[in-house]
Amino acid sequence: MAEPAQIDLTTGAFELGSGATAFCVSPVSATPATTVGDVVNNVFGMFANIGSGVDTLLRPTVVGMQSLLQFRSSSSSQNYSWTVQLQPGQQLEQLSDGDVALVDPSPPSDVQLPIPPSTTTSSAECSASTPLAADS
Amino acid sequence: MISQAASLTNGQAIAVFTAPWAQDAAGQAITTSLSTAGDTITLNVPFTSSNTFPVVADEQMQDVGAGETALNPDPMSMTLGGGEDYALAASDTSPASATDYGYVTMMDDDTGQVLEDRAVTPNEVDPTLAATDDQADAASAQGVCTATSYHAKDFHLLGVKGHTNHGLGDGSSQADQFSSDLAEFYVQDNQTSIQGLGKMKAYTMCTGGAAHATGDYQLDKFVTAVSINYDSYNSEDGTRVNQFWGATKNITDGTLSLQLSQGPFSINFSMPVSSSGTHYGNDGPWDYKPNTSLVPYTYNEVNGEFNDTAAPTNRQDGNAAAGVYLYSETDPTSNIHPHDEYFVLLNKECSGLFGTGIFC
Repeated sequence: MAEPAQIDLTTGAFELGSGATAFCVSPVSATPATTVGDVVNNVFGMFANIGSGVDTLLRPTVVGMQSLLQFRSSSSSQNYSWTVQLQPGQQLEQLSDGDVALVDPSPPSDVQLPIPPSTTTSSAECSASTPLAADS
Repeated sequence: MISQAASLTNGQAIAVFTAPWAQDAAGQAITTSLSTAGDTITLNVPFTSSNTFPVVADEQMQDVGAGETALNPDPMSMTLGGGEDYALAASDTSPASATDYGYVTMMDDDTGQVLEDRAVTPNEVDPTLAATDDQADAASAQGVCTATSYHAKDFHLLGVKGHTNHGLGDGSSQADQFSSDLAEFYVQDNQTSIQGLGKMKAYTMCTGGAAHATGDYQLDKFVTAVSINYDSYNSEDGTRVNQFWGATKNITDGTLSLQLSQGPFSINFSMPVSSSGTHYGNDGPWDYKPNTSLVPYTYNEVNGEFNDTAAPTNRQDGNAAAGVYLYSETDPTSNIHPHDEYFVLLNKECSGLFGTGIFC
């Protein structure tokens, strides 16, 4: 069973993946007015003012994380950024369809990798404190 | 499963950040973009003061590496692409009335053989349909959708049907609107935890032209936008519990019309189910009952409304409904508890058709 997604309620950072491929995603647009996240129904992590005039709901999904962003007014920032904690060799790559991939210089996908043992820690230093999860 | 990411040659994608949809409070779509610089990803949502606020964007971050593990924790999982998968579709090309429930078509998506093609009856419960899983597989076969593993549990498709229930440019009262039920189903169980504590459920629904579509397997009257509504009904007395007026998605961008006319497209939606909480989204005026009134086997209906604003007199038939559904092989009377929260978003269409997708 996959580990619950972890969300740091103080920063809005969260961890995706597990084991060697775990990585941390942190918002970089946080403002002094950013609130400590509220856990809503044990499903959402809700952060007000995560950016200038921007609120967010973080919701773990079966495959990752959904970040619903609400831009409250025309004076809200039109940009919202995340920092991805990259491991050595990893990079972000813009795809032709507009998406962005986190690319790891690992063997191609047709190589069967061993499943890492279950662990309570991960390689990502994402100071997560609150597990939220989706059960598909 | 990630069409673009799968083509990477300088490494393996372990996660994908999808360019999200965004829309304002009036339903006006806003084209977003993602950009990267070093270790930073920036989402740009170019709204203007003419938009109605708030503007909402839906960023999906998909953990490619762990996704399959997460979706396949036990032998009950199924993998799309297998020879036993059937496409499933229901449609109606000549609705006689609002209660014409159309047809169901089951096809072997490897051979194209039509296995079942017949009219369905209202509220039909057909266990054989539960053995089907994906329209996505058919889409994949056409090269428009790369299938991935999908967890077959927790959900039991007891029936699917499609019907038209509004005017089709034929002089009826709503000639400018075509509406079709995309899927109607029963939720039976959310006890089984796949990822932990939450009670989120994510479903993918695919729609596409089918045997009864005008023009043979085509959604040949193209539409301007599709909006997905989600209705919930109390299964005991049939009253509508709530309704979500879903996001409107423009499906006519770029070459999408061609794609649509050639094969199925899909609409992903998710419906987290929680033991407590509230309906998220814009409730319609039909909240006759509190969400907690829902009970197991609650009748759920997903409506798709296809509005052709450009040519409102077009007859927009040929729509079909199909689904990728999770289903349970366990006793349907067990592991049931009420569902009382709904969250529906029209996320992003099928991979290959509209870019990166994850389900389907």
